Amino acid sequence: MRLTQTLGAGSVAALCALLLASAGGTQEAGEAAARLAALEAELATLERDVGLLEDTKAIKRLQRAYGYYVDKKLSREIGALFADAPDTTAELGGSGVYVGRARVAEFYDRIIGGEGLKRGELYNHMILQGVVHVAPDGRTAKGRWRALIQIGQHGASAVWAEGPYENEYVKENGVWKFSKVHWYMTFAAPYSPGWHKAPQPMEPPLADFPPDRPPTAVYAAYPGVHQPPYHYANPVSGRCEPGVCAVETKGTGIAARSPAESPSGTVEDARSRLTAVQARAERIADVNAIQNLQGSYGYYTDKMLWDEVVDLFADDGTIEIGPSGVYVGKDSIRRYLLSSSGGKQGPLEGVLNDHFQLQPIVTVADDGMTAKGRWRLFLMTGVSGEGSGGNWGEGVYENEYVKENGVWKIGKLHWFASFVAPYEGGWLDADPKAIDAYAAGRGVMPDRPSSVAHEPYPGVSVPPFHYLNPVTGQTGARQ
Amino acid sequence: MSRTTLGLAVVSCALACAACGSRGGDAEALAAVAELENAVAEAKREVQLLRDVDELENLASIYGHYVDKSRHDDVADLFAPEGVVEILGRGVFIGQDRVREYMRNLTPGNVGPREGSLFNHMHLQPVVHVSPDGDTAHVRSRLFVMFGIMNTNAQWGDGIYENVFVKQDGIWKLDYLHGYQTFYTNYEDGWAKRASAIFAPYERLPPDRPQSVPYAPYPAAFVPPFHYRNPVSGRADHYKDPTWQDTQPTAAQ
Repeated sequence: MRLTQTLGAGSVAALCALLLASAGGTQEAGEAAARLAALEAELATLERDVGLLEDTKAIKRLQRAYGYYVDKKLSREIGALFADAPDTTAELGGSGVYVGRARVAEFYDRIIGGEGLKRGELYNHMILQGVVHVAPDGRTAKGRWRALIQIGQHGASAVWAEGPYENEYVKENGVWKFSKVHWYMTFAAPYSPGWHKAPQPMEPPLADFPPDRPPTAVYAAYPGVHQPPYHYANPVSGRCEPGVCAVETKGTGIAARSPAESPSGTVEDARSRLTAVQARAERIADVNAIQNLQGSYGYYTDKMLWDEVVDLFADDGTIEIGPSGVYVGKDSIRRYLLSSSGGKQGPLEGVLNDHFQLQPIVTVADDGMTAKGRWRLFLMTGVSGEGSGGNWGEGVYENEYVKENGVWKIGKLHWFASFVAPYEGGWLDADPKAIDAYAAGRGVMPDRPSSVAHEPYPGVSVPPFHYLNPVTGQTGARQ
Repeated sequence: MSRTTLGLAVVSCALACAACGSRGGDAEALAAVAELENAVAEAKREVQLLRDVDELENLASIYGHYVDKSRHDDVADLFAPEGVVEILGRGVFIGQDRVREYMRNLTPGNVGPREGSLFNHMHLQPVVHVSPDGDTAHVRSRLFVMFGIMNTNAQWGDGIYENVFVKQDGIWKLDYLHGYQTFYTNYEDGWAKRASAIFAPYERLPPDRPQSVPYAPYPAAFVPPFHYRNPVSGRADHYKDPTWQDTQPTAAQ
């Protein structure tokens, strides 16, 4: 009887391995094992790095979602973005500090005057210019942002305000939430006569809902001067001037990884880990590509480079600007765009057409072939001349994107106007009909009627959010 | 197990291994690992480029937050030693020392925010492209300024940055900051009524070179040159900078 038959093939193999191991094995086997172990360590680093990139994207989404909720005074949605932890805080300007999610949520509800934007109110809260640093362990993060604010009570007041946030975030069960929100007020001032003439002092703490703690920093708004500390050292020189920069720990803090000596899995395991991490990296690259795409739409539209704009659309792409109706396909889109500039394209002497593309929330489908994006348009237009005043405009895009042959294109561009108003007086007496300048009737008819009825300020409309609340995952804010 | 049995086992093991090609199997395993190593190296390179994008977005924003508060030294520190600044029509300043001089000259004799002075410098809408080798990057971004001196005047400023960044010793730095003037206007007027002519070089601080791209701001028609081709069509025939380089081939090429 052959021994192999007696012992069984598996036992022989085990015995072989044992014998080979005891004999030192072949050189190749040993080298392969060592290199596989090194690869696994590299994969772990890659997974950590991609995880931190995902964290950064999630935090930007959270912060920008907050701004879009403030726009519409959706205080329940705002409150839900905070961690339910005893050290959660919020502080806005001179409000003092509210502690714990329940207190923070009620504070927001009171300071914005109750759930839901009402007719005749404007409450735009643009979240801009983020600087986000995630801690190496991926559990906490900090962010500096700029809020540019437009507040209005139709016919009664129009106000500009601005200031930076220095916020902190915490990841709970894989979900990023606010642990600390602190907005520093630089200034607030009525649109007329402006910040240099009539700046408003900081509001004191709410008398009927006093804060849990006094303000952490006492300062006066403009024309006073204050330096809200940066949460980061100078990224190049590393300089951190006391009073200017508040950095708790220096260095990257990334723990040195002890080199693995033997692989914990097979080559196939490592290959599938690589495939998984590559797919996650690809989704991040998709978001970046779409941000470049939509940013380019804005830069080209500034200068009425309509050929360039049309190129950005998919063949069956659509465009809908306020009340314009829906234009389908590149030829229709080109006709519509040309009609907005008297049939000409390229920069025109005297014509300003600035289309800022701000505050992106981009959501890529799991298959990486389609995506949706919410963006804010900040608009400055005008024809030069003494008799002309120019216009402001503001509103939200809810767009769709498609990836064709590896290239992201605009599938659907839809702008919901919040207002268009003259430079003179700003949005104080904004006429909702001013938006009709973007309607059909310049000799170019849309392929389809408007997809939604939408009344700009002083009307209230909440452009439907394509995404769920990033913390609750609920659809509460959808309309 | 007796010695004889063990001996037999060794022999049959050797036979079995020979039959399955032991050395060949090891070489195969090694080849599979080597192939995976290449794939991991490529993934690392791609992920590093994604990290670069985030760092550049931070850096572009940080620049604006520092300018807000007239932190001129922190701004100058963001530049590479050979970094260049060119803003509006002020001309070209070469080297970090000159950049520092230029920045400090914005508020002579003073660093840091000042009572009664507003200098909001919003830096928005970044379009970021990192070179495939990860050593240089171009960022187009938008400048929006709220300027004010209490009881004296207020202005809006609007412009486009086309900035170049370089990575030195693993740190991204500004290599060429180029700010184009779209308009500056008094708050009382607004851009449509009146906009400033191009801001000429400071008499008290002449540049090292005149501005690299001569142009007139709004209401004249001018397109600050793009550092990149159309991201979908690859079109590159509009408004090329004379110094424009084809550094951004797109997938559509």
